[in-house]
Amino acid sequence: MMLGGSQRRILVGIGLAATPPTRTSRRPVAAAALVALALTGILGEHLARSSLPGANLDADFTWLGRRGLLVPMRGAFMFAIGLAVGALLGRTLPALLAAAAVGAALFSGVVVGTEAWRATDAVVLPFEAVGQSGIVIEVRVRAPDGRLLTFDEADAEGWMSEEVQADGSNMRPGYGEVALAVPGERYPTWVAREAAILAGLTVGGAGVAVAAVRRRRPV
Amino acid sequence: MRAWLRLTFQLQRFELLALAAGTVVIVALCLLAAAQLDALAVSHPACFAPDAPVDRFGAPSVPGCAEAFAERVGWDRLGETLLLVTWIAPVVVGLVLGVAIVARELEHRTAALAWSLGPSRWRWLVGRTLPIVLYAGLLLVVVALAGTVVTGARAPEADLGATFLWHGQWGPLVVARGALVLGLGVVAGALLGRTLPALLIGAALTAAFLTGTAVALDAWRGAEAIAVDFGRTGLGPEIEGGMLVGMRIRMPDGRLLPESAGDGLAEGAYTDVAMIVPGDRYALWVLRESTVVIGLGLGAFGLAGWLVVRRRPT
Repeated sequence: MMLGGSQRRILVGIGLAATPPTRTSRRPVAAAALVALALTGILGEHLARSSLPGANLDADFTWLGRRGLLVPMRGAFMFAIGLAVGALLGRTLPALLAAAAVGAALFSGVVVGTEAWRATDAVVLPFEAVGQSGIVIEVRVRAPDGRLLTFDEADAEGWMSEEVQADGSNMRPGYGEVALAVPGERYPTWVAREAAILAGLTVGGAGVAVAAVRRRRPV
Repeated sequence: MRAWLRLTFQLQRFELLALAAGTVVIVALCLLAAAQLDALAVSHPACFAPDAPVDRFGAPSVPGCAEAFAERVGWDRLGETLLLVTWIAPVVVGLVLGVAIVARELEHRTAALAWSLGPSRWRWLVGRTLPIVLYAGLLLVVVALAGTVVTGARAPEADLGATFLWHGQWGPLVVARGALVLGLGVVAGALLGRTLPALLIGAALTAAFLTGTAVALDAWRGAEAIAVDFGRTGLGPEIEGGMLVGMRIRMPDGRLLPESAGDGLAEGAYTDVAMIVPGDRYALWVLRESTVVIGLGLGAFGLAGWLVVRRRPT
C-alpha cells in the first residue's frame, strides 16, 4: 500500500512544524516534496493519456483529482493543514492525528461542496449521450409529455411493460431514461474552481501556521 | 497497576482520547447504517426478499421499490466504507499507541532517568505496554463488534458463524491484528527512538507483515480447499459462506490441474471446478489466523524488549 500524495504532504508539513529544530535546513525538503508532488500530477496526467489513448482528457471527468493540476493542489492543501496543526500543537504524534482528522474533514467538505455546486451545472441529456466523459448526477425517466419523473413516479404511471418493445427495451412508447449530467466540456472549469478553493484553504492554513509560529512560546 | 495506568494516561493522553473519540464515531456510524438497513428490510419486505425478482442491474423489479433500493444502496455503501475502516482500525490503533511507548520517552529523554532508577528495563517496558495493550484491546473489541453488526445488516441471510464474507473486516481478527501491529509499533519505536520516523517504519513493517501473513495463510487455506463443480449455471448453494481460493479443471481420471492445462482440450474433456474453503471451516480459520498474528505480535514485543535492554537511553 503506498502513501497518497496528500498523506505524504501531511507528514512533511508536520515534520516541519512539530519537530525540534536541527542545524539542517528544512527548506530543501519542503521544496523537494512540492516538486515531487507536482511531478506526480504530471505523471498521473501522462498515465491517464497513455491508458485512454482515444479520449480527449481535456474535456473529460475521468479520474478527476487523480491527474493534472488537482494532485499538487490537494497535496499543497494537506501540507498547509499539516503545517498549521503542527505549529498549533507542537507535538508530532498528536499533530499527525489531528492533522489527519482536520484534513480529512476539510477535504471531504470541499469534495461534497464541490459536488453539490457541480450538480447545479447539470443538464438533461439522453442517457446514451453522456458517454464516458461526463459526470452523471442523477438518472430520471422522461414522460411522453416531457416531465422528468423519479423511478417510483414512473412505476406508478406504469412506464414499463411486460412485452419487449420495438427498440428492444421494456419501456412503453414515449418514455425514456435521461441523465442529469455535467458534460465533459465543463471539466477545465470545474478543475479551476476546485483548485481555487484549495488554493484559498492552503493560503489560510499557511496563514494560521505563520500566526501560530509568531505567537507561540518556543517550548 | 494504578500508577502504571495513571502514568500511561498522562504520557499518551491526546492519543488515547483521540482514538476513543474516533471509536465512538465509528461505532455510532456502524449502528446508524445497520439500523437503517434493518429498517428498510422491515418496511419493504417484498423489495428485499431473497426470492424477489431483480432486473439486469440487480435492482428489485417489484413496482414501488426503486426509491427503497436507492436508499439501501446508499446505506450499504456507507456500510462498505465502515468495514474498510474497521479493517484499517487495528493498524491505526496499534501504530499510534505502540510507536509512542518507547520512542516518545527516548525522544523526550525521560527514558534515561527511568532506566537508571528502575531495577529492570523489562519491568519498565511491561509497565508501559500493559495498560496500552488493555486499552487498545478494549477499543478494537468495540470496533470488531460494530463491524459484525454492520456485516449482519448488509448480509442478513449470512450465518456469521460460518461465513468468510468480508473476511478480516469484522469479528475477532480485527482484535488479533491489532496485537501484531502494536508489537511492530513498539519495535519500531525502540529501534529508532523518534516518533515520526518510527511511525513511518512501523507502517512499512506492518504492510510487510500483514501482506506476508495473508499470502502464507492463503497458501495454507489453499491446501485445505475442496473442489466444487462449476457447472454451466455457476456455483451452487453448497459454497455459500465459503472462500473461493482458485479455479482448477478436473480431468476424467479425477486429477485436478491448473486452468491453463485446459487450453487446446476439447470441450467436455474436463470439468471446471472451484477450489473452496467451506464456510463451516470459518471458526477454525479465525482461530488459526488469530494464533498466528498474536504469536507474531508477542514475538515482536520480545524483540522490542531485547532492543530496550540493549540500547543506550538516548
